[in-house]
Amino acid sequence: MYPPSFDYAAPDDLDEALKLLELHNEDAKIMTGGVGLINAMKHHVIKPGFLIDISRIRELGLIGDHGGYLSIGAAVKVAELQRSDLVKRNYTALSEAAGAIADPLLRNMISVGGNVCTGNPDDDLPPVFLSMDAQYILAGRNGRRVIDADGFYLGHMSTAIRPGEILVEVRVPRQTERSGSAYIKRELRQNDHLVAGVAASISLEEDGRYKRLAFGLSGSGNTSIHARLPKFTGSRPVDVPVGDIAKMVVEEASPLSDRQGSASYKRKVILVLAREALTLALQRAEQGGQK
Amino acid sequence: MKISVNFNGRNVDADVEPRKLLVDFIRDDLHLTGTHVGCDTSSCGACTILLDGVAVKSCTMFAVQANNRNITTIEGLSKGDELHRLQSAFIEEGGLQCGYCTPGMIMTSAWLLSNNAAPTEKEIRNGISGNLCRCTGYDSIIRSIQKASSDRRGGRK
Repeated sequence: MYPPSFDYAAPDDLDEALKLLELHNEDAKIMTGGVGLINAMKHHVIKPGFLIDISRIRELGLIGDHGGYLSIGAAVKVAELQRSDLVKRNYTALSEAAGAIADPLLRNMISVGGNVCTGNPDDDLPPVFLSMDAQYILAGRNGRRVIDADGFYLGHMSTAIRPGEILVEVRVPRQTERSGSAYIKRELRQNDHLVAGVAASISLEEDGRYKRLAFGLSGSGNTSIHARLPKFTGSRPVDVPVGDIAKMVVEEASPLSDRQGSASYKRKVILVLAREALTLALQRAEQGGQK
Repeated sequence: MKISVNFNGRNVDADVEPRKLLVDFIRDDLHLTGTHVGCDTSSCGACTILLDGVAVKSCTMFAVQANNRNITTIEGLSKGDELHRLQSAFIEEGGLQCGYCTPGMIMTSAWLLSNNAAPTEKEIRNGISGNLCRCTGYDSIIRSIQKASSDRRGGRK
C-alpha cells in the first residue's frame, strides 16, 4: 500500500524544521516516530505533500530530571520511556502506560510526541500526563508557549496545536516523596484495541490525608479525559472507600459503544480499573514514594 | 532523494522516492528477500529488521528514514555458512511450520537476547508479542529462543 508522492526532509536543527513548517504549512505533517502517520498515509486517510521528520533533532530525544520537573523530548521513543529507571521510580504510571502501547517492536518506533499530539482518545500517554498535571511545550517561529495538558485535548483527533507549531517537550511536575501513580489498561486480547484505560495519580500529606487526587482516562469518550476530584483533598484514605471515588471517576467518562464493547460494559470496566489503579497508587504512595 | 545506508555491513548508496517503503527497498532494490511482507500494516512483524541494533517493523518506515543508519536483515545474521545460534536453534527445535514469520521471529529474538541474555518464558512471550505466527507454532518458537539463550550462556537448558 502506497501513499501519493510527497517530499521529505529530516533536519537536525529545530529552527530549520520550523522554517520548513512555515513554508509548507498547509501541506506539511510533522513526523516523529511515524507509525500512526505512515499507516494513515498508506490508507490515504491523510495525504501530506511534505513530511518533516524531527526525529534527528538531538534536543528532542532526551529524558532528564530538571529539579522541579521531568523533561521528556517529543522524539523520545516510548520504549525508552518504559525502560527509564527515573521514570519507573518516580512516575510509575508513565512507565506503565508507555509499556502498554502497541507491541515491543512498535514501542521502538513510536515517539512520545506522536502519542501525545494525535488527539486519539485511545492513546495511553495523554491520560497519565493529564493526571499528573503535565505541561506541553510548543515551539513556533516566534518563540515557545506552554500549555497545560488539561487544555490541550479539544475533541476527537483535535488538539490546541496551532498551525506552524511543533510539540518539543513534555514537562511533568516532580512527584513528592508521598506520591504514587498507576496506569491500568484493559484489552480483550494482548495488543488488541483497548476497552478502556485508567491512570490514577495521587499525593498524600505528611499525616496521610489526600493532598491531590487525579485520574486520566483512555478509551472513555471522544477525547482523552481528565478527572480531577478536589472534593477529596484533605480526606483520609480510610474514610473514603476506593469504590466511592471510582464511581465519581466513571461519571466523568462518556464511552462509546463499539467493537470492544457496549458503553454500559465499558463503564463497568472503567469502574473496576479506577478502583484497581487507585488502590495501587495508594499502596505506592504509602510505601513512601513510588517504587 | 539520495540516501546512504549500511546494510549487513555493506554501504549502499541509492536514490529513492521518499514514499518507498523500507521493506520494499530491501526486497525489490537490494534483492534481500528474506525480509517478508505479511500484513503491510505494522501488525504481524514478518518484516522485522534491526535498525542500529533495535528491532523495528520495516513496512512502517520509509527508506529515507534509514539514511545514515545501520540495518541488519536476516541475511546479515549468519557468518558465511556458519549459522547464527538462533538460526541453528530454530532448526534443532523445529521452530517453524510454514516459515513465513520465521525471519521476523529470529530478528526480534536477536534483539531480545541482545538486551537480555537469559529471558524467562514470560519475557520471551512478551518479547515476541509483535510477531504473529499464523500456524500458531508458538511453543516450538519459544523453545527455540530458550535453546539459543542457553547456548549463549555456554550451558544446557
